[in-house]
Amino acid sequence: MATKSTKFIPALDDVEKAREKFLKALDITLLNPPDVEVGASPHEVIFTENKLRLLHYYPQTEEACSTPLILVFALVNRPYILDLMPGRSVVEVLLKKGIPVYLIDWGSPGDEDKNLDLNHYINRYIHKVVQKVKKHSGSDKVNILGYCMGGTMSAMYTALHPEEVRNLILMTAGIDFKVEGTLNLWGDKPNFNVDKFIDAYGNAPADFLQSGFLIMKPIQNLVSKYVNFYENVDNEAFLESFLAMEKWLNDNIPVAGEVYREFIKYLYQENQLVEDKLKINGKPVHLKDIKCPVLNLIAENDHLVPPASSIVFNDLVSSEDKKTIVFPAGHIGLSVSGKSLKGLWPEVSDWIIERSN
Amino acid sequence: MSSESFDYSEQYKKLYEAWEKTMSEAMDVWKKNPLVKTGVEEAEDYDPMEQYKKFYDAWEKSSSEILEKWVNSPLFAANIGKAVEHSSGLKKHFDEAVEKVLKNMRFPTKTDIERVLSSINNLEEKINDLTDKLDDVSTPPPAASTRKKK
Repeated sequence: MATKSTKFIPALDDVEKAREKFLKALDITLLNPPDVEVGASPHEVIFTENKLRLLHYYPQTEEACSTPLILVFALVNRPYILDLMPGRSVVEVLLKKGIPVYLIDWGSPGDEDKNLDLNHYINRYIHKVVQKVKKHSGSDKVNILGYCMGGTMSAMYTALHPEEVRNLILMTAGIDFKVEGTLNLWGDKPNFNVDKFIDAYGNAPADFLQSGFLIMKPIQNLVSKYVNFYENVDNEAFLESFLAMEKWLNDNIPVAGEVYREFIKYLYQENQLVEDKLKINGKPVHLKDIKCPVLNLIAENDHLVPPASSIVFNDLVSSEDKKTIVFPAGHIGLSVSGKSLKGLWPEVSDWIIERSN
Repeated sequence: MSSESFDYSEQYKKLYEAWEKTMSEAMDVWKKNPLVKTGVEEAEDYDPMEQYKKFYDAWEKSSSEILEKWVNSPLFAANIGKAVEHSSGLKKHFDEAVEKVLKNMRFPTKTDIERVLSSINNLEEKINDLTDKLDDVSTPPPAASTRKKK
């Protein structure tokens, strides 16, 4: 019997094509995942201490500014998101503009590093890196760009050592932890006993942190992303980008226990930075001691660090030259999306160059 | 928000209502499937893949909204916090038991190894500081890099 349906039978034929596509997707994601090269911009390691490595990127053009820029990444996940792949790299944009770039790779802390605290990260590691970069570049000061948790620590460092920093750039940095936000809610005192957690685990385990990030947007992270991948599995450009991002997203590291405990307790639970009560190694951290030019980069759709958490920063410092850019991107999109790399980072580079000589 | 002032039953009710509403929306899309009403022969323009996609889009949107609302609720935060606290207690108890057994057997424990590695890290820091001081004494500052400058 001839059916009147014109689309039903062809749709059944599509089942075979869909099956082939599914097998290809399965092969790429689970059975034979291809090796993806990330963090490929040419560089040398100029300093190591414990797990920390300080990377110096080779210049790609004549240098336009004499003050080097140090990228301070978060302690969660790896810093190569800032140099993900050719064409998707903040480092590449900065180098092409002629900015000397150094990057701190914190490495993956072992159980023996559980006692590393904020004091160690700021007054030992960041301070040591600043001295190394000054020596290596021949500059008397440095520019610092801190991303996420690295931004919060960069703000603390600049407040404690204002004489070392020429310009400070914060990127999605949490400052006020009493604004509405998922992590602020989860980390709040009545909900999270951080002492008991760190006393038991030593370091904050990578799996724990990753699970938290995944369940913040469960459908998007566990379903939609893979449906989108399946639909674009034949698109080579999409595939390359997707696999690099997946590699980074799943390349998780633990956070040293003591610094995690202090971050949660002093910032998420007691909001000490904004309330001007934070002390590191007994020395008060006053944001108003920051007087250098400040550029505050905020991702409009940030679900990890709500824009309201970062935006207060410029009101708390004494700098006269300060600027905030709220860019329509997400927390990670600010560093990897084509829109940010074309529309934001050239402007950031120009801002740095204008204030660096 | 403090857990004392939080009305759990009200929160469950709100979540249930939101879930019911969003699932109804997704099911409405599914019900527009002509097969449901009239059978294959009447469904001239029926494209099952397109219909499935519409259903999936509606489900994805509604489920995202409800689940994000759920994980952002004080109820979820309080419960997940409790779960983490209990697992921390169990882990600590288990680790202490293992540590005691290893100690009694005269085996080095995880704590012993951590102490040794930590000492090595401290020594590395001291060596780095000494190397820097030696460099400062032996080379005139600043040691400018070989980079090209404008």
